[in-house]
Amino acid sequence: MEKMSLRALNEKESGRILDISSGRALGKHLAEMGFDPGSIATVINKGSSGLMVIEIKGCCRVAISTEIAEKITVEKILKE
Amino acid sequence: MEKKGKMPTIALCGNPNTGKSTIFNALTGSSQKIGNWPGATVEKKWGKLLAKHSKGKGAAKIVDLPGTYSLSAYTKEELIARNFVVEDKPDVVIDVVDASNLERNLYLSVQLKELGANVVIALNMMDIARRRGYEIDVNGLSGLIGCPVVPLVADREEGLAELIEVSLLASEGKLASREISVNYGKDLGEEIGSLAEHVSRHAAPLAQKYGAHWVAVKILENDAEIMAKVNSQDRDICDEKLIEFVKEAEERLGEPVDIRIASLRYGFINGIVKSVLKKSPEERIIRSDSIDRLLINPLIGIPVFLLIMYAMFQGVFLLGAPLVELVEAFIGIVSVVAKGALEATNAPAWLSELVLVALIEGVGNVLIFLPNILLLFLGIAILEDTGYMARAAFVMNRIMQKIGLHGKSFISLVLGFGCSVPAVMAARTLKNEDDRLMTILVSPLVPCAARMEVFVFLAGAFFAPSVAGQAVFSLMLLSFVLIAVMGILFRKFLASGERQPFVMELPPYNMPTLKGLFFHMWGRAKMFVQKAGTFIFLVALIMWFLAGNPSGVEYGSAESYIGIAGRAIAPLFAPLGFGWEESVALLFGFLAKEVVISAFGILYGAVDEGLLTDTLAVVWTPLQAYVFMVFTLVYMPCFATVAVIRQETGSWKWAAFSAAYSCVLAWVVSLAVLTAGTLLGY
Repeated sequence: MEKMSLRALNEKESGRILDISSGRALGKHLAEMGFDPGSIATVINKGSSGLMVIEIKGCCRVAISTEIAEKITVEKILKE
Repeated sequence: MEKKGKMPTIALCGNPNTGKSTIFNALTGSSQKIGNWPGATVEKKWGKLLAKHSKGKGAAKIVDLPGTYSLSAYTKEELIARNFVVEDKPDVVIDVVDASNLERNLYLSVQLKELGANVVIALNMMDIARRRGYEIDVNGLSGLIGCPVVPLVADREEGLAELIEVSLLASEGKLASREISVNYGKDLGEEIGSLAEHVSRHAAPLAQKYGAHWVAVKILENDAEIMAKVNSQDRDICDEKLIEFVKEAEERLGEPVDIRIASLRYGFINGIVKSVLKKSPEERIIRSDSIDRLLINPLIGIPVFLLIMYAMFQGVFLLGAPLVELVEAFIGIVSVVAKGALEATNAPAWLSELVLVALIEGVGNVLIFLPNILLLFLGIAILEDTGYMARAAFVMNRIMQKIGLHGKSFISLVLGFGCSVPAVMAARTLKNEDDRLMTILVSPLVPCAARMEVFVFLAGAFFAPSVAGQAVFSLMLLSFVLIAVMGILFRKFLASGERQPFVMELPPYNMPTLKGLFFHMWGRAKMFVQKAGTFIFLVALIMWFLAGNPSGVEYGSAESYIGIAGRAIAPLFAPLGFGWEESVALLFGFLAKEVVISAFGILYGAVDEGLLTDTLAVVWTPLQAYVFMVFTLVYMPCFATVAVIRQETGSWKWAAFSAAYSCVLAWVVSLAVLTAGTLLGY
């Protein structure tokens, strides 16, 4: 399994969230918005505006900055 | 009929974008009231259950809680929702859940259940879930989450009757509800257990009120509010001890406890969702994604955004123009009829002056632009209700960052076109204090509908129709430039470089309903109508009185009180070429920007019989008018905005600063425009 930051994933790639290493309150907020360890995140859109659109839990779309995406560690899910 | 005072309270709770306000509007109709939560500027909405819904089963009070993702007090909204559920103990909490986004939405439901609230789940957007091929076992969900679940399509009012019936039954305690318990695992469970024991021993009243288990979980989640409460109960436990305890627990568990708790709650939810939700194997690509491929792409998204804004303003003025003429004609008729009636009844001179000058010139001239204001708020409501506003913040993020603001500040700036008050309030979505302050200080520079009225009024008087639009547009460009310059300066001198990380949900695109748009538009525009009928009338009355006294003085002359006041401050404005009349208009404009028009109506309107705009065109050159418009654009936010800045920043210092800097800026920029214009030979 390949461990990497969420930021490093390409569009349409998915990863299982392992860990959030951002500051306290933000980490909890992210976890509550669905970025809790164990959830699957898929990169929907990786524009050049400093933001990424992530699909979380197979339904909702959340826009996060690339700085945050960098602090979320995922294990890449390989598509069969 | 139930006895008075026993009216049950039903609270509406739910994530943002779940159709909560649609349900609230359907339940309460026009009985709703809007205010602020005590001690905070978060919008509070409440109303009575409409009689057609309650069917003789007695009334109920409906309270709309702020939209939140959780009850963890990350934002003010969350804290308010939580405090209401915990402290006010509503008889029923209707939790609006988006059926097409079940897992994430149930997080809040689980938290509500953990709090011990009497929850009824309104499973909304069933149509969208069905369209996506989701099958939800409603009874199964109800059994597992331990409360009634009512499927709903709020847009079409499907299921609403059942929701009300179930909620009213629940308020009488006639429905079974079961406690649920999230499995926090062995080691974390032990930590919670020992802490709970500690709490019930040392802070018994708290344990009794909220449940020791809940308090223990909150402490482990680092909940400052609850920690402070425990703290105040028991001298033996101080913050440091609690923080120490959480730290130790974290060391024993080997990871941040709050994230682990969130994760375990989701684990619990996952178990429920797995057994009640069937997704068809082939999930369709959501249409929103393909639209987003265009709209949030920076190369296409920004031009599209500008196009949408351009279309909105064109729509406001083009569609508005014939309506404005209608209102104008109507006010003309009212004026003639009133004049006739006053003459026929031999009314005293002061009464006819009062009606014709203060009411018709003062308030009528402001009301003329009501169609524009309604259309503008309709445009903003469309941007919000379709889900586009979040995309606009997304594409503008980079630019906002460059000018010292935050992507989300952009929502404030767009709202600012309607009114600066909601714009300043919308800055609440920013958690970082610096980001919030920056946004609050610059958003009044966006020309609000009231200032727009002044511009349209003056541009119409001084410029040919073909140029008038460009004159107003140039003012908008100027405001953007000023926002950028001030944003960069403020960020450099007032704030730290640190900014709140960007996290924002992108709701799926949604076709707004006419009813929803109407409520949204009217909720905001109502204020303008009320303001014209009350506040502006009052100000017009005062100005009319000051212009006609002391007795014997020529009406509106330099010797009247208003003239004396104007002459006293006129030297300040002399370099800009304004006379005492303009100075007075600006002075009263602080009370509400529309008053600038009223002031001209009162000072010039009574002079001769012709149109006010024609009179003004004789007095001023176009350049003077334009400089006056520039000053009106920038100078001091109106009274209501200053008050809301004081509220939002919690200090008079920033309110005063906002007023002061904008006056200085207005003066400097106006002088620059005047000088440049004169040099260019205008």
